[in-house]
Amino acid sequence: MKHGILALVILALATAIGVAFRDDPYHLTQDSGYKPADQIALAHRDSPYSHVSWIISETMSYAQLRFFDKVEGGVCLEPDWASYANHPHADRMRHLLMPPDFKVQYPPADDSWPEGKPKPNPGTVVQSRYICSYPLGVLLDQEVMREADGDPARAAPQILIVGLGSGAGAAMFTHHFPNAAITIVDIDEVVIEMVRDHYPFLRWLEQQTVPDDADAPTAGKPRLRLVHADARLFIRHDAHPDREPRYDLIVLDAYTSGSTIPPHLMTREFYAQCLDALRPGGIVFSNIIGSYTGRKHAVLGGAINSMRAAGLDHVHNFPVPSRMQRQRNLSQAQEAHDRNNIVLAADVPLDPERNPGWQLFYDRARNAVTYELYPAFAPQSERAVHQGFLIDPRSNDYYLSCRVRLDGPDGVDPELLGRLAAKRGDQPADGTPVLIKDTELVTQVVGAIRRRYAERDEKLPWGWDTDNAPALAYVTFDGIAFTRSVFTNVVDVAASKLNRDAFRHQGAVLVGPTPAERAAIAAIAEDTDDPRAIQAALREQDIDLPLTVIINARKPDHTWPIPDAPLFTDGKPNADILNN
Amino acid sequence: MWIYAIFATSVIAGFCMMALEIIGGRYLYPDFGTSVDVWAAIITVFILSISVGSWLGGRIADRFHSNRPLGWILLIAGVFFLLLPTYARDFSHALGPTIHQARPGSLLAAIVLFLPPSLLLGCVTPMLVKLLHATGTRVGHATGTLLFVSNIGSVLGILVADYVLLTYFTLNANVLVMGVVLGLLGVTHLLRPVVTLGPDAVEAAAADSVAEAS
Repeated sequence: MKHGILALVILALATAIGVAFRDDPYHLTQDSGYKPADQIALAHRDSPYSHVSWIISETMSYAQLRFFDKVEGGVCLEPDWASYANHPHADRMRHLLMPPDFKVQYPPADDSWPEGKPKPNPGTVVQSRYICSYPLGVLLDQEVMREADGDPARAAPQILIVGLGSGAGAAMFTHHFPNAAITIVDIDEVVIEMVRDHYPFLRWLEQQTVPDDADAPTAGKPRLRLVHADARLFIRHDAHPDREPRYDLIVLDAYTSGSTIPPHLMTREFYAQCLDALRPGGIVFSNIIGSYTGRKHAVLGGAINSMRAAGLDHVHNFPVPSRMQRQRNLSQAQEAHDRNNIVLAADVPLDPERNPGWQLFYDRARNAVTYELYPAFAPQSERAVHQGFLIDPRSNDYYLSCRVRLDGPDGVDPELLGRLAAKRGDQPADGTPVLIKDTELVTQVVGAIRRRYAERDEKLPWGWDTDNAPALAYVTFDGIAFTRSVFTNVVDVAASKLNRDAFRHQGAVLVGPTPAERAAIAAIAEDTDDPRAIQAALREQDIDLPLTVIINARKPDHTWPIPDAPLFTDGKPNADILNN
Repeated sequence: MWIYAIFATSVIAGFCMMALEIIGGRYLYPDFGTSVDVWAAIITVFILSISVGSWLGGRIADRFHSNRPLGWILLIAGVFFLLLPTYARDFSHALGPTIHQARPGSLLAAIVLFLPPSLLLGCVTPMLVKLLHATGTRVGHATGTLLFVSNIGSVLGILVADYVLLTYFTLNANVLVMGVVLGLLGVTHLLRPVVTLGPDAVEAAAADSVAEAS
């Protein structure tokens, strides 16, 4: 009896403690200059795979879907519908004009929605560099661009995206290509619901079809389809060429927690199935986190190797360094630090020189994207958000504080802001930090922020309570300016000649020839040593390799830039394990 | 000496069973994906094997009084491991178009591919308990020790499979090697038959092993 009562008491105590002191699952960290002081979690749900939250921040002007409080990038809060409706070129931007009275049923009760905070009403512009590169997958497609005479407004690609995330990819494609028909497949139903419930623009797109008068292969098709399925099964069964027209572009951006790509989406057999689901000449576009010699080089090298072994012979890698990496030593940043890599692969050459449609596009879009092609990129009145965070440029632990808003009613006074803006000069409002080392100015900004928070009787955000602030990073961000600058840069990189640019590399040059190609080279090399002759002989066998690869393959101790790239097959699906 | 043979058998059987679970899952990936449903199916099948195998193993142990059925069970389990590479992928692949949804398809595939070998391995522990102590004295001690050893084997199977086997070797290579090991273990038991010990010999053997250890 005594044992029973004691056990009951312990149980009651443990229950009470557990219930009373359970930690807040929506604890948002503020411990870097990347995190803003005013971020709020608007909605959270648990799924079998992840814990997902919608976070908004007016300082950063974004709405993000975070998985376990990770995942950067997101969609911009501005431009919103109203700014497109009042746009001088509104007549050519109907594909972006969600009606103002379009409402999504926001679910009540199960989400904690702070009073008075705006709902996410994101437009069509994203804050992620690699997603700004998505349009390359269409622009480098010879057939789609030829059909459209190089005009993105007329291009009508059928796109399959694997991995929904926040839906930013769909937003970016829609922004660029009004006639695109997009299908997104995701393994997690909760993520699909979170996007449907809280991202009005995508909800609206699901109900739209490409206009019948578009004179395009996608006419009459839904502009967006969200499918809950495992991508491997979907591509093998539902994307089958006999069941529906083949895709022009397959975007692979599926990640589990830990920045890991599921191993069954990284094998040679899977890439061959992607090839089957593509129309001839279609492109596979993968986002692969990794580097050439760093921790995750095996994943990047293995992916390139496996794609080539699957028949996607022409592979190009576009590394997307982070802002910090771009400001530091470039070659080091390229090789050892893991970052996003955009890997484009097809069974036809992807070089823009061989793509007449691309040439038409590029001639009109030279260096500055013309607003004739992209009315949505036209500059609008200054909508930039001004942010700042404290840094120590001499140390590796760069960030000293989180980000706060410097303009608006919560910021510093206009005169001080004007002095900061003067330091910025002509730099576009694309989110690149400007380093302010003027100690007096920095001290004034810190003082002004402290006063504001004291006036409102609020606790200072992380890091601002310091007397030691060597420098301030001053950031001006306008979603349109950012998108325009990243996209322009990506287009220029794609157009530049091989080997002249630090940000575009051919897959075969990175990992070397596949075993079959190596055997072919060896066989031909018995007759001749001249690399050009070998190249010509290979072309007769339908093998297209650059001279560099042939020359280096003949050297017995040559090390490829991505050393020892493995081959991922269904018989040895270990991409996720090598990723660690 | 005999005790160590029992422990070794226990560790090897536990290792192979759990390694098959980790490695075997990847046989299902290409045709059924990596969703939670697939892993639910795999874990279901293995725990079912432990459950039914324990019941079956206990019945067999009481019916026969030697290690001969154990030897045969290990050998047949090894044979299933060895033959798995010949039909595993083809079977999943064939199921694909007809039942390509993850839930029923992966469950059926997991049952056909993994239930026979793991069920047999699930029989091993109760049979080893019987061999260790025939009269039922010190049952708690015997059972506890064997479960300890067998689950250490399982833990090793999981970790080694994850950290080493999957990184460096193909799925088929792993399964074939485990098949050979299990088969040899079974043959060893069949070549060295032991009749179950009586109660006095049990006490003596226990006293011996204590004396050896100290």
